[in-house]
Amino acid sequence: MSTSEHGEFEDTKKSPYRFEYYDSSWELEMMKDLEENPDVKKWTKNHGIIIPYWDEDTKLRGFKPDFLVEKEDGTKEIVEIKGRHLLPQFKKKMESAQKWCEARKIVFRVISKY
Amino acid sequence: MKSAKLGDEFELWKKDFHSVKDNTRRFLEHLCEDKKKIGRFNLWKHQLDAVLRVIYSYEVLGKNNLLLNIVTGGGKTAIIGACISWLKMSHNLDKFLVLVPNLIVRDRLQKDFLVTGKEESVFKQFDFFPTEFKNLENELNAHIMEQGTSPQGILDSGIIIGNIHQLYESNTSGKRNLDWFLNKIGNFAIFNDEAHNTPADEYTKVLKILTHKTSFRMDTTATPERADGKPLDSEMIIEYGISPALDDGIIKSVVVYQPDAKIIELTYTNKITGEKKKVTELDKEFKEAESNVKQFQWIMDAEPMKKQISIALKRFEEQKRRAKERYKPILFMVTMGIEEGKRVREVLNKDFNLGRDKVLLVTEDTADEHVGYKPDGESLTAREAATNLGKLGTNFEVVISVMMLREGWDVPPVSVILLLRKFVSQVYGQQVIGRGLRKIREGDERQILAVVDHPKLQHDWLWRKVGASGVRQVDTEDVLGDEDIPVTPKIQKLIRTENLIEIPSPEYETKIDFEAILKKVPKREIKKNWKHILDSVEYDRDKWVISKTKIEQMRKLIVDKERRMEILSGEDMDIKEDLIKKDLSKDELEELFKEQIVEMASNLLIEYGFGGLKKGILYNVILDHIKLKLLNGKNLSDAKKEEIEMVLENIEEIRKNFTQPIVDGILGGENVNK
Repeated sequence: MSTSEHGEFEDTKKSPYRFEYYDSSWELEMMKDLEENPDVKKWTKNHGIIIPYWDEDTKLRGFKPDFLVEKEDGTKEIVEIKGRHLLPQFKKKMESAQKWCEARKIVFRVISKY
Repeated sequence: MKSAKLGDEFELWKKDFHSVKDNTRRFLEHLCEDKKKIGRFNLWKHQLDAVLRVIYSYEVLGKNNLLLNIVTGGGKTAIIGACISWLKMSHNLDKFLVLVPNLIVRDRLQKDFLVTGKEESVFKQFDFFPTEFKNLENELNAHIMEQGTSPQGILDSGIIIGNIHQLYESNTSGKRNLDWFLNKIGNFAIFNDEAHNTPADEYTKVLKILTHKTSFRMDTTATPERADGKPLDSEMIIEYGISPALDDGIIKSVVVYQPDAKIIELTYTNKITGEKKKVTELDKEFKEAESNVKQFQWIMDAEPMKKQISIALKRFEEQKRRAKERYKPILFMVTMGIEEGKRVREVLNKDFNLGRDKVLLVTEDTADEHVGYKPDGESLTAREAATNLGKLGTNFEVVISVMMLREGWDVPPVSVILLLRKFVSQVYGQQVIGRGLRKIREGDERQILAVVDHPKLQHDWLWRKVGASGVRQVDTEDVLGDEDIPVTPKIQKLIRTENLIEIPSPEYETKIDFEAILKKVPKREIKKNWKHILDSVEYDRDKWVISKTKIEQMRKLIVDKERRMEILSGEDMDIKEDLIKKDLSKDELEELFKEQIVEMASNLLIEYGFGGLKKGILYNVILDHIKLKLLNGKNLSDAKKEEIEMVLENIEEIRKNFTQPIVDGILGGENVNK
């Protein structure tokens, strides 16, 4: 799929890193949005979070969500960009992520771009 | 050769530079300042490390016979320059004898060290002397010892550069020079740059005679094995080889290009007897020629020579394209003998239209040959032209050399090396490849040194030694892209710690019932009969629907450039269906189909822990499976549009059959989890 455009977003100000890797043009768009959005204080894709979930074959797997964001008002969000997920375990991942975030008072959002 | 590990004590010493002379401390503090701020160069990390190790070994440990093993292209000259500056400042040494292996290195070092020269000396470039010691810089100047020059320069200059032969007792001027060193000047330091490859006996003798006046000796080399196999007597305090230098972005990666040995056969003709032989029948001759026992009497035949040249010229064009006119790449051809070198020059002229304005032949015999004119109208010799190679605005782009440019001549723009000879000794082979290793421009850009070789030359050992990133078979007419350029490793540096986001700890545990789940997990086994299982799968096609929604979405992902953004809650997974429905053409569908299968294969490989290399195998199995089960055995091109649509629409159903045991079976079960 042509969403395999990947590269480094160099123009970071709110991220702790000199650059951030993006794996699709949507992620790149998202990065630009996050930089511009005045409500966003900090963000990164390199957050090290791995959310455990059980897939259809009842195997424990790890799922790495896309973005960790901290807002100006102190709330935190995990943002998952949807679009390339045509795999059946997507739903499982999302459910686990939702639970994981709830336990930590983190808002979980899925952004879909079509 | 002894090897010293300086260890923790050295690491501690670096923190405060204790137990050194005051002037040394001043020198070190000045050396560690950022010189970029004042428009000068900083030493590379390993160069600074080398200088610190030298100073620590000498002043703290009291060792004065040191060896630095630094990869070719690793900037040995600057290290020598820094050490000269330090010895001059702190140890009242006024004379520095720099021994070089050949004339080319000598010329280059003279330029680097010449304080009054037109180009800036290394002392200025790196700003080695602190302000209050700047006057010392003027006392250094470089003198060249050569046949017929007066030894007066030994008195007048601080740095005396020469070949070890200039100090041999067996010749008159050597004897005189040696006498001046022993009797007319004070103590001195010796820098031995790649000189250990000189035949040993007299070399050792000279150094021995000079010992009692030598306050400090430092050998530098990229190849610590000596040509004669004897060990070196100095103590190695740093080893900076190819792999760290690649990581630090200082040298290029070597990529080797070879023709199919069946298509290009290397044959030779004896220039005296006219006898013909294959390259594999000449092992003894190569060996004897390399160890100077017997001259090489054979010349490569025109046919293979032309073909090898043609491959090299193709690589050269590619390297020129990559240079983007920022620098001038050089094609370096190495032949076995002088006559063969001349033959190559003829072939280049006749068959490739490369005349003497572009091609430079440098051998011991032709070093002083007139090859053109300098801007001021004076005659230009081959050796002088060799020193200026690669500068923008110069003509020469192909250099043919026999053994002349073996050591020390690292003109960075050597981008392609054509080997028209076999290497037998480890040292020579590495030295020749070493000519092209230094990266042309610093920074993140990855560069390669393309080496054109032949399988029958049996250089595998050499490619291992120089850490070649690949050996690739090519045809004479192949034109390549940039697939052999290694990907730049980029480090995602943390630069704003204040922007790190703290992840809150969970307020309650999200419990997982492992026991219950484990019970459900079937014992995993590799399905040897995977084909049978896949073939017996039945799809309930009656229940399959073609809504085209999914296909539309797949297609949208590919073609829709005008994306709009929509935020859904985490719960809401459904995709909006108000998409404009548009029929895809058969071609578009086929394309989409293939992409989906590739995607599926990739995802399966990642999921089950296989590397990407097996994607093709899996792709073919999936495709065969779909053909058999869903396309009535037809090929994709023969399938109906609706059939392809149906497959696309229900691709997840197909994927479900490719469970881990099945994929393990298909790929032979060698996944990375095991």
